[in-house]
Amino acid sequence: MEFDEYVRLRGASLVRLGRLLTGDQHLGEDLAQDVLARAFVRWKKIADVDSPEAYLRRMLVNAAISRSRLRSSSEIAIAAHPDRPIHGDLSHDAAERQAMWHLVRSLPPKQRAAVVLRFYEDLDDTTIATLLDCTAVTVRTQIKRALTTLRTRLDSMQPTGTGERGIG
Amino acid sequence: MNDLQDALTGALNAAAHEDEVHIERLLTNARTAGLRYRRRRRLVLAAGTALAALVPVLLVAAGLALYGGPGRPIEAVAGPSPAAPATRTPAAAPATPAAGDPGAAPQLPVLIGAAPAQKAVSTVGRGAFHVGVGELPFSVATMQWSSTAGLERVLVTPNLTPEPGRTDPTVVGRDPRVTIALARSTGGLTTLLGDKQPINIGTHRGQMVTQANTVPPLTIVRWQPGTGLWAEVSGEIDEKTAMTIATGVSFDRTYACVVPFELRPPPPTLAGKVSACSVAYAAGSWTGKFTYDYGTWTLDLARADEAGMDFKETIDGRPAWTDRAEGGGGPPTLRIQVSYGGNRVADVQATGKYESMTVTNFAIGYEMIDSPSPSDWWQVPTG
Repeated sequence: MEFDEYVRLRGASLVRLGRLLTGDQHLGEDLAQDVLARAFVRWKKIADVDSPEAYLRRMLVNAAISRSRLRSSSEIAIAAHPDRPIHGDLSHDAAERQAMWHLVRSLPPKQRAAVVLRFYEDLDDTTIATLLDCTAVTVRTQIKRALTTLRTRLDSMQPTGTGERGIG
Repeated sequence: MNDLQDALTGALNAAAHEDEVHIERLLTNARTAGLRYRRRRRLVLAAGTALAALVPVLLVAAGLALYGGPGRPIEAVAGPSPAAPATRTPAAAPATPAAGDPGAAPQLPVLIGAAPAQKAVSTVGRGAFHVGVGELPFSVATMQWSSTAGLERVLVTPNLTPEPGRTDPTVVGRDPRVTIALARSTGGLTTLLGDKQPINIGTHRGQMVTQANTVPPLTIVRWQPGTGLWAEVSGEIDEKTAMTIATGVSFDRTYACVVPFELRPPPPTLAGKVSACSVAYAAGSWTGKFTYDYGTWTLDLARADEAGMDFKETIDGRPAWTDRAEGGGGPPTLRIQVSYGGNRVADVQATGKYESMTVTNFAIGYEMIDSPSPSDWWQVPTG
């Protein structure tokens, strides 16, 4: 498969994965573009491997984790930029999804990567372990910790005494 | 799958598909960046080959100079030791405007010289700061200066809920942040796509690109304030706002990297250099952090507060927390947080081939500076 054909076919999915791994729309696009640029230079070799998709996904995951470390060294976490005022109410489901996404973004990079690869890419432990360069046991531990964190934070966001059901 | 996992899957799918992906733009940018990357690799290879050819000649020349060959005596060049604490130079800190004050942007706290960036290109993006921000067409909520790898950036977040009578920024996209950058190459700047309009910033010619039909709808103003330097204002803002900000930017002062702590000098065998610094302003208060680069590993040094921290161990008699991360596709990291009491925490993170004891010594070697005024803080010695 030629490089252009591959990007047209699979580029969007790489960008979407980049958005989830970085937690930022623009950074995700930058990251996917950077990974594709590096792949372009040695495309003949990459196209010959069994699964260029898996290869590029691994490049993307590694780049996302490295970038999060690099960013931590040059940027200070100050209050997130305030959202634009929203005119009209979001539906309840959309608001819940938004809240959940904010919590996912707050997870440590490797936990977030494991969660994204499991619940968005629907990959099994072994495949995720290969992508993250760790064992399947570590993947399960990362996901378990992430889910515990998300559940705890969601519970703390639920209004008390209203009889509303939390996500459990 | 339980409810939580269903909710998670839904949230991830919604976030991933929030904006459209412009495939042709992605393809063009990836190809362009790929070609640039290939050229750079070839240049590096060529330079390496040339250097390899020169090394024997240089070794012979050095041998002659040291062992009786003719020539001048070698003079030692005294430079600032990055590890040694810098002298605190009294400097008047510009008044910090109240949050939400329109027009007057917060200014970097410690001015250390009037050396124009144009005359010291090699110092740009090496820890100190050279970007002066003039009047802004909106009030400021947060501002952050960073200086690393040949690139200095100022990230400005406008105050989006100004008081009555104050200015609301004209934001054409969803992200209101504006970036002002000064770089030694265009590599770290925004990719210019679309029609370029010629503009003038003072006496310097430049270009403006408005990507109104793309996502995000960026406006980018770029000019060269001096040979070997590029400046840029970018954001999801209208052209007038971008030009107003660009016109107010100056590069004729040098500001110090300051942090609210000082370090006990590290072991003399460690010859690190400051490779990055960030100073941030938010809601009337300041903070700062910096990075030492030791070649095979880096060390981020910051100060934090105790909010949300759970100290489960003790280091040097102080409550502490450590976290090691190895594997996972990146270099190993060690993060240590040590409480100094009074809501003051030393926060250090080593990445790469570090020695744990050295990192620990940094974490217990902080001397906290309690003054809230950044003009009283430690001036990190930067190159």
